[in-house]
Amino acid sequence: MRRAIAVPASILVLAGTAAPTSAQSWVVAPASNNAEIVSQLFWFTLVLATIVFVLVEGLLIYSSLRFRRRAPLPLREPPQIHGNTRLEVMWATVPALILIGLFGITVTRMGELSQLPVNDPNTLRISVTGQQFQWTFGYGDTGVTSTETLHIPVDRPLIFEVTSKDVIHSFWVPEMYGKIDANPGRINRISYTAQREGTFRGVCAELCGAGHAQMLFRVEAVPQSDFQQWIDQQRSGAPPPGAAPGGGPAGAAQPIIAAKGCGTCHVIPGVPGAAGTVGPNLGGVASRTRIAGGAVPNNGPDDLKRWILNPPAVKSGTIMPNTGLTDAEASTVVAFLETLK
Amino acid sequence: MATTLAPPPAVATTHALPHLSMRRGLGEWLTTPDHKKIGIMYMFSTFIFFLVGGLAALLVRLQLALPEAPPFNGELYNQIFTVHASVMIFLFIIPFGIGGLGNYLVPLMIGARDMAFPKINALSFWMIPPAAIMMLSGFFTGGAADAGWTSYPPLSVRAPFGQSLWLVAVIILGTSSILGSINFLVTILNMRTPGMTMHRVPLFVWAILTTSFIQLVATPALAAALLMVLADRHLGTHFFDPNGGGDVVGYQHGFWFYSHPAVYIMILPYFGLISETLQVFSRKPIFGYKAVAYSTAAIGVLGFLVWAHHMFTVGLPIISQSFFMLMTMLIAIPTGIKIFNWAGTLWGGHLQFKAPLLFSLGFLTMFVIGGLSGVYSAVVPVDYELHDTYFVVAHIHYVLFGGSVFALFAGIYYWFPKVSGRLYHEGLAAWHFWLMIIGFNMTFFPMHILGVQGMQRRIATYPIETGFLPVNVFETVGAFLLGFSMLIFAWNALVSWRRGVVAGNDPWLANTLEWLTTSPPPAYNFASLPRIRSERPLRDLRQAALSGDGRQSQPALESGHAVAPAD
Repeated sequence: MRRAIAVPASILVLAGTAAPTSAQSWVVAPASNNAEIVSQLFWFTLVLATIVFVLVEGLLIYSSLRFRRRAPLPLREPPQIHGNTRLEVMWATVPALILIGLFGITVTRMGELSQLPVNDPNTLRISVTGQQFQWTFGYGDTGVTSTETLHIPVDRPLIFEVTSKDVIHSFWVPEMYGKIDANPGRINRISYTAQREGTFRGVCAELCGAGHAQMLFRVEAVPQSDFQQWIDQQRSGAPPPGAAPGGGPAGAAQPIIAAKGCGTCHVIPGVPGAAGTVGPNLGGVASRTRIAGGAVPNNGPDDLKRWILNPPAVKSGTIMPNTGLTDAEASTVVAFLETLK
Repeated sequence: MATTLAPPPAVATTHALPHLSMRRGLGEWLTTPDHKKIGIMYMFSTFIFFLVGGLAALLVRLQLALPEAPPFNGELYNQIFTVHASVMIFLFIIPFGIGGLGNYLVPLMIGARDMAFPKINALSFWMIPPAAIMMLSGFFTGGAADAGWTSYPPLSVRAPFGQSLWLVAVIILGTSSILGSINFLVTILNMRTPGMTMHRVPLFVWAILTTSFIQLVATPALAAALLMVLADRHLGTHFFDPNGGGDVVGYQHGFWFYSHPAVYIMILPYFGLISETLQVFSRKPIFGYKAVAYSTAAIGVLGFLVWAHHMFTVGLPIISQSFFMLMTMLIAIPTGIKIFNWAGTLWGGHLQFKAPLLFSLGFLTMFVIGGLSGVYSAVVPVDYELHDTYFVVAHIHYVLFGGSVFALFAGIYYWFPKVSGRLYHEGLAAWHFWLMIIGFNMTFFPMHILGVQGMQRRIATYPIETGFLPVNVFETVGAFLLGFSMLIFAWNALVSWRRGVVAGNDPWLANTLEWLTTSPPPAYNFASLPRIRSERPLRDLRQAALSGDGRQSQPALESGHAVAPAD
């Protein structure tokens, strides 16, 4: 019981210090205007809860120790008190007032959070579509889409229009704001403005099947000019800087890629006709730290090869099929993919 | 004069106690309509399910300690945690509290000979084993239910065949609950012994009354939602298929209209139990009987108006989110009243630190944490972040394990002498308590932190860069300690059942009528009963004996055949 007393203190310490950079909490490092508001509400609730916690646990532990009797069975009874109306009214009223105050403060902030900046010409609408087990993002009316990585500009209002193609998913970037369910047949909208540049962790938060844990994505929050540059680059269809121009290793890989139909699902810079949008755009795949919707670490050619040799074995439930590549074929394809930096 | 208060001297013996002997063997147990035997069968079978659910929990913890090389793939992991939650909720916590303790105790506490409908009572119990077998047999049909205990469509419509077995099993269990609820309502409202007004029934009975009301009203909504999923799976309907004009959110309203009240089904009987043990082991009456009884009833009504707080991320309109936040905060008030009244009961008492009080205090201190973490989730925007994370997993375990299960063990130790006729071993019980509370906090407290850091629930693995690993390993160690503490309990219960010290009628100097009769009670419960004058009839009898009232003599207490004085 006494252990319990230390707990609010430890939550403060752990949330503040033990969190490594990659899993920094929205509580201590909110990255958007809305996450900032939610963080404030969290700290306010934490203070209230800690006060109540210390008082009530203190009362329970004090009376347990103070009124303990070691004799086997007491021969005399303590005073038989049946209640005290004034006290009971007090301990019904005080918590009620505290909770109604908390309700009032929260409702006010909810008004701010639920505003959609639909009339702001600067607003960027991003469509978010979940399906087992990956996310697809579409950027305004540019026609540009991406999977695995969500690109967002900082300091610009964003509206996310979230839906699903199959089962219920939930779109969540902890440090930004969230979360909102992706319901098939419905569109949910949330809005926020990112305030911090960097790479953030995005996940699916609603159980959606065998690959639920691996339905991950990255968020790249960049300055507006960089974002615009990325959009322009995607629209022009030009390969990203550094991508293989088509000669070299792509020459050997090209017939394999064509035979296996990779281009049906993927955009592959340097491979004519590879323009599918079911799977991620493979431009820059070699420089990603994770592949397969965030499921597989990408520390070099071996990881990429293991993945394309048999995707369902690496990520259960993935829609990428096993195309029956031989080991040699896979090595050739990977040698090419490794040039897409 | 005070010496007459001492309980009858306990005698060590290895002879079988007469009422426990199974003279008529297995057939007697299979056919009995006796509420005590049915209660024992409920308690025994639900503990088998507790073992099953507990082993599944350990597999879950094992998986999360090994994210780089997880022992189970995504499909199997989803089945394991679905089994864990379904078994713990539908086959352990709910049936133990109402079916087990309620059946055994309610007729004894109100001075009745049995339940109102003994054969329906037997039917309620015998629906459980086939349902349980059906739920678990999914593993042998090419895949058990894997959509979580919430079974949200469209995922549950696409799940393997085991999901259909799961749905039918839960509907059968719900039917059993409805039958039991009617039985309790009729029994409590009509079969109380003369003088036992509704303001004199034990608070445990108030809790069972309220719980039965909730079950009766809420369970049909669950059955309807589950039947629609079954129809989508097998009859080609499109209730939850947007391509056929259905709506995925409709199910969630039906499910939570049952399942939030079900949280109170899972905890109110244990609230009632705590109100009994605290009185006996502080040697005081409950502080504010009416406040405790009416707050139970208030929870029973308000509990129907908070369900959508499980759905804040679904995309409901802000106005309905605000309404459900307000109701959620209001329902914290009667719960707070109970906590303070329980603390008031302890205050100024003569506390006897026996196992029932230890576990009751464990319940109080842990449940306060579960109640407070609920406030975070009630604050809607904070819930946007916390929903479906390990913070919520921590919250429900502080409510259902820190709350219900600690109270459940308080109840088991408290009534063990009545049911078995023998005392348990106090030292082993203390070991059980301390290892359990340490293991419990090691397992579940750090989950608050993981949730705030953004670890979502129901994931079979997580990338190592998240930094979640060390805390998860620590929790897994705690979970195995928690599991070990249960072995101490099992050993204590088995050995004490056979060789414990004979308890006598009333080893605790308790208050309520079940302690008037022999331990274990005879088939007919009571030969005769005193007229009830307060909510503590046994204490009244002791006081009358002390004050030299010739009409109620000490031997009457010990024989279990107290003669009622004519009024």
